[in-house]
Amino acid sequence: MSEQYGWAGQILRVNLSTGAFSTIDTMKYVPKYIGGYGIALRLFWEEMKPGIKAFDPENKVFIMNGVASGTMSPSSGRVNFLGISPHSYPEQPTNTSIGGHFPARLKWNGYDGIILEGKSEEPCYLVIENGKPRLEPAKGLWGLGLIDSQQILQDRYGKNRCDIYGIGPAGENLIRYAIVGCGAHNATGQGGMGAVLGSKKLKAIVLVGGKHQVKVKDPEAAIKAILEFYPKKRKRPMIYANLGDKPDNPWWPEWTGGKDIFDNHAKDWMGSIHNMPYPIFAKSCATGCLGGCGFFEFKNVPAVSRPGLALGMTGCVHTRYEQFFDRLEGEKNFEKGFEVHVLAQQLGFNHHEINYGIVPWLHYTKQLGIDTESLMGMPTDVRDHEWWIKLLNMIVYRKGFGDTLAEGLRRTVEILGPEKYWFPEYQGPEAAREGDTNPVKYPVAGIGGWGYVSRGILADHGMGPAGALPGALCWMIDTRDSHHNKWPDWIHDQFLGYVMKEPDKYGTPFVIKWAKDATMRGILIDCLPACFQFPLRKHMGWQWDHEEIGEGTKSTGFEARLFSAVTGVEVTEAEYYKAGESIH
Amino acid sequence: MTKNNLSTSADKNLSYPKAIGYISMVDPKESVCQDCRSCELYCAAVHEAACGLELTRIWESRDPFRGEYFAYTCKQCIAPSCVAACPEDAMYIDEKTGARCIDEEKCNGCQKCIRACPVEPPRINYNSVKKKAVKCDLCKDRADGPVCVQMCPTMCLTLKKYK
Repeated sequence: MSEQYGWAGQILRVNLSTGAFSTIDTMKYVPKYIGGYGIALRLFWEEMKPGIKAFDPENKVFIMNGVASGTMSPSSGRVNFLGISPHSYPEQPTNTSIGGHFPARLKWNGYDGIILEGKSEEPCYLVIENGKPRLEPAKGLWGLGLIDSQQILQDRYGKNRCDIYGIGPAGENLIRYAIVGCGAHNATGQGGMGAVLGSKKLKAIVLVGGKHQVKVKDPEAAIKAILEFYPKKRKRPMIYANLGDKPDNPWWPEWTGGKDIFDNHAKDWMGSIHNMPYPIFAKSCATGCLGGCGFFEFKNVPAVSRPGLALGMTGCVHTRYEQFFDRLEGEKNFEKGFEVHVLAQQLGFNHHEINYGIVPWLHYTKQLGIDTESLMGMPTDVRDHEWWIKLLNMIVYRKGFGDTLAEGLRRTVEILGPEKYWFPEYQGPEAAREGDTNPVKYPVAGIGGWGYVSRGILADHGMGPAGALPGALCWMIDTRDSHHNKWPDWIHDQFLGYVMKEPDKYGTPFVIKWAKDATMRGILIDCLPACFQFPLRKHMGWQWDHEEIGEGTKSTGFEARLFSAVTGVEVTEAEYYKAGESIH
Repeated sequence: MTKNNLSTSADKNLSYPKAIGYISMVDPKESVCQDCRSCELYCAAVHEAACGLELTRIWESRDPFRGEYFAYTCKQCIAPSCVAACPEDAMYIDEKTGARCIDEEKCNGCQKCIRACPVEPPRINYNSVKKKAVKCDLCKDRADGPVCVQMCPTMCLTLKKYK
């Protein structure tokens, strides 16, 4: 067992060109750089030379868990991926994160992270078994779906004995927004790290066993602190009900805060898609999760286009696939959306780019009479699931115009001409929600900061440019998609206060302070790491036994307390915040 | 710590007092495991001040491709073959809870208790660093009771009482 608390003490370096393994000492970087993203960023600046492109063998991927990984620190089942991103426009260093049980098992295998460098000549996968690394040929896996290849590896190394991160055909074929994924649901999301692994011919990383033990300073004291943040526990049975209907949904008052004004939000967010004859289960997606934050796992859902049953999780961006179909007349609409959803995960796509970017773009351009159908070589019909399947296959195998779309929406409109294909403004029903009473007003290509498809934070939500200013500043001072680690409840609350009450939206210093606080919070949560949903968000349906849910939930003080509880290194909130500034 | 040392060689044929119960999952109609592994983590932390796969006394089994998740641990057998198998008299019955426990100081790491466990997979873990067997003791020394039950977010674990 390591003498230090929290950290394992070493980072594994894997040279895929030579097959050589080595380690570096974590303790040279802590506690100053905390862990996770902090160490990754420090190593990045030490080791990367200017001018390296995303798919160059010289690009490195820094996969870092953190000081809290593998301990009982809540919602700590995350790792960070950092490298030159092929998805970002322009290519530049970007980080992203992913959950599952891989982060904890990496710590239990004795590592605080993995550095991938070089490029293998042949497809391979990395195995770390009880701390010992080796490379195996991936001949029988290359070309297989992300979910299918993981199942083969799980059979090979044993259920409950291994955890896997892998890529699908999208990563192999260098689709710029390909994910690294695990299980049937988790993903690195934005950033295209799946394509970077594909460029290195690395199909998967398999962690097996693990004998390392992570010391925790004072477990009972930590439990006491954690309980201050613990949501009211509730039983979570399998549900057979329509969560899109107010009377049926036991969580409706929690989702809406008991306010009728948010009824539409609850319906749009979780949707009538949940009125299905399949068991629904609110599942966690990472080690130590306290909440199950609105992701619902469905199993044994019949496929529509072929025989078979599918398992998958809806929630957040994933729900979009089903939403494109759920208000149609006719049968099997949920099943159609679900089939497309599971296929996109199998292929290894970033769902954001597909269902907030490319598909709405094809739909909105058609509505405005801008011809994208002849580029596609087929009529656009976002209500036809067969059309979706053709689209995904065109992109992943780079057929016809799919080869351009594989470069991502930002680069596609750059190639075609932004004046015609990006800037024209669409006003009408949102692409997935035909018939919705709240029309949207967007540029036809929904592109946010650094070329990532935006969920709308930079578009007009009726708040005008001033309302978008704080979010835009967030994008400008960091390259990670802001939505995914920077905006907990307290940041949302402050933002709404600014939008609703600030008379001088351009003159107030609030905007700069807010963007900085949000960015620091994102960085510090990625250093522990912890899930961005923690401290748990009240509007996602959690309640607490007490009025105040613990000091530090409206700042980065919570992150500081967790850091101290695990490591025994006492830090104040101010010191911890300063560490974030230093890292950034 | 209260001990009821029944496992001397002369006592091997004696019947053992029943445990108050064992950690079990509730009826799935009531609540299910959400696949967070909190039970494993808190279990290891409160017993060892460390977390790791060889320190936990409860396990979550999961198959993310079939959507199957459940937790399992020692059944605190009425006739505990692990206690009978121990050559060092390192296993004892806790007087307060009846939990079948391992005295770490006496354990020689032979793993006979693990091999004697009648269920598959065995419900006794082996800490290869200390070379000691470890198993569920119902958190007999905790004021708040079994920590897995206390911290399970979905309340799917319970102390199922023996009648």
